[in-house]
Amino acid sequence: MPHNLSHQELLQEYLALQSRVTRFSAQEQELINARDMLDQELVGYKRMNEFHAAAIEVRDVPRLLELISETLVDLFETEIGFACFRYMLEQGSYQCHLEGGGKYREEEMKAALRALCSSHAAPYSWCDGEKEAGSPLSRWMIGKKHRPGSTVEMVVIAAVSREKALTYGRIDQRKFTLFQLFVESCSAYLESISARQRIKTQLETIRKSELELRRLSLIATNTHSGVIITDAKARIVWVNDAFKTNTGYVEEEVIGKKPKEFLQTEGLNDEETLHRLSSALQQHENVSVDLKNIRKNGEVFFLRLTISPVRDQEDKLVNFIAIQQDITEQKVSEARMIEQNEELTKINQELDQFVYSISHDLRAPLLSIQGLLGLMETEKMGAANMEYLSLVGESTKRLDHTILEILNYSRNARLEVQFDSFNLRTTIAHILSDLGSMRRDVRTSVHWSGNEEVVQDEIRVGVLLKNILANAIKYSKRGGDAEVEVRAITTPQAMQIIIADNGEGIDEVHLQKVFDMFYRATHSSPGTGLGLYISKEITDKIGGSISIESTLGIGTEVTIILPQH
Amino acid sequence: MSRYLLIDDDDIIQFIHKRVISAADGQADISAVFSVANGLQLLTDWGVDHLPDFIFIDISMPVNSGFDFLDALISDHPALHAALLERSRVFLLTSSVNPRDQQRAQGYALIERMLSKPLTPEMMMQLGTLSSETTSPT
Repeated sequence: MPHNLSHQELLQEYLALQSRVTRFSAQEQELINARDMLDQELVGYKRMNEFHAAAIEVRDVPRLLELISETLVDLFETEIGFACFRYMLEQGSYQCHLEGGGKYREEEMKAALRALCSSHAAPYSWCDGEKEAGSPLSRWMIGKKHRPGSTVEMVVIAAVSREKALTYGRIDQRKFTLFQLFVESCSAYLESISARQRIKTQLETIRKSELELRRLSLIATNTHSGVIITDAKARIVWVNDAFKTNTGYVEEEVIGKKPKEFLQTEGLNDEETLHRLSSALQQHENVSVDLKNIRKNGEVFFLRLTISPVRDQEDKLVNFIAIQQDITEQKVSEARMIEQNEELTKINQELDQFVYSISHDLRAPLLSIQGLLGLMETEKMGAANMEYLSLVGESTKRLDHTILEILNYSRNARLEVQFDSFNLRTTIAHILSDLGSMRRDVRTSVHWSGNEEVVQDEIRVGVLLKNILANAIKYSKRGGDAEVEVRAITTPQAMQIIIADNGEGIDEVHLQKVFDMFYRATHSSPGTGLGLYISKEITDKIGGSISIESTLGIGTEVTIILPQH
Repeated sequence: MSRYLLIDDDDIIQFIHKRVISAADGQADISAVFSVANGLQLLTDWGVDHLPDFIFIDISMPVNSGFDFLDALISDHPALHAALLERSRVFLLTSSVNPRDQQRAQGYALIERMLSKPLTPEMMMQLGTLSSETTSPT
């Protein structure tokens, strides 16, 4: 150092030195600050790396949100980390995770954060100091990510509450940049999770439809019915084994052809059926018809053809599936049954005619005998002969009665039921008048309620009532005061006819069996044991019911209930 | 004196009926034929001015039935039919128990009633009481 420097000069040198020292120490401080900042950033990026390592393993949204919130608190040293997954269309439907929150209750804090979510429209914003009065939040950063075309939005917030604002570090541009970077990568992970889930769902769907397809093709291949799959223009693309067996064709002969080109000939099926089939196909509707088809060997067979159109997801027609059910046997037995039915009807008619003719031929001489007996009674004759004659008369009557009952039985068994409208009261009056000659000492009465016109099988009802009334009169009280009472009630749906006598009654032992064929409860009077059996048969045939009640010494009551038709 | 025409193919029943009618009506003039054709012939021979008071006709007969007789009158002998409607009482007398015959008989204006064989004195009495106001004097 030169010694000739003046004091003045020395002072100046000193001051210059001192200012340089000051400058250096300021630069040193800046360097230290810069190093600290770099250290801090390094810690931040290290923490980000940890986050990446963890996030890549996450498979579901709630866990990702949890991880984001934890990392926020760590990374930015804020009091609160908050991440949520928000459905934009449905207000209040959140999936969220909150980390931290200080003295505030969780619900209170979440409400404040949600308010923040909806009040900031920009994807990113930040605030280093209170802005909204009343909010518990003071310093904060917010980031929102919304994938185009999606209804969900991810929101990430790092925040410091008003109480802790002074003790926590400031939020600055540098932190905000890191925050943006962080939110972007969060968004990427979220995207990958949802993409993975979409793929999983699609794979599941594919697996299911594959399974279904396998099952369906199993059915189509193994069924006994022929199955044809055609394209939209009705050209065959696939047939099953049963089709080949049924028709005698092999695959190569039919693929690409329309079924009607080789399975039908002109005039084989009636026009109406064919028209129904073709119009259904044109309108792409389901259809089922019975058709005749021709096998390769020329044999005709009957089938029930069921065709269903198949549409793709865009509702465009892609296929027809036709199922051919061979119904030849069914048709043949149907035809046989119709034939047999006709034959049976003819036989029945012939038999009916036969029974009438025979009964007429049997009765005619019998009636002559009755007539002759009547004449003989007017002639002079010994007492013994008179008695013999009356016995012969009884026997002929009984024989005639038997012939009539057999005739009634055979009629009821074979002839079709025929419903007509007729006056039931008149029918009963006629029967009572016809039966009048049986016993002159029986008083009859008819009590009526409801319409006299009814709809039933007039002839059968006539035979039925005649049988029951004849019994009532025959077995009514002997030796005076014999009474038979008819009580009829009719409604639009049904009729009830009660026929009551005041005769000797029927023992309970017999009562059960009176409707049995050839069962006779008494030996005291003649009969075939067919009357009540026929009555029961007739009642069954015309859809009604018949029941009998009896008290010994008091009388018998028969109740007939018949439906109106 | 009343005139009777009986149409029935059974000679025994004809015999019985003649006796029963004679017993009920001592003055009866009875003509009996065994077929529908003979019955129609007799009526034509008599002519509309000499028709019988009573006709009893069987339903079941060989060749033509009692219903054939009625149909023939309506279609082939309308004048005779009209005269019979006015002057004679016609009955179906039959052993038929076919309810269809009963129904069919109701369709003929000429038929007063269907009676069951054999004709008895009681039936003759009934006819007498029924007839008093409708029988035309001969």
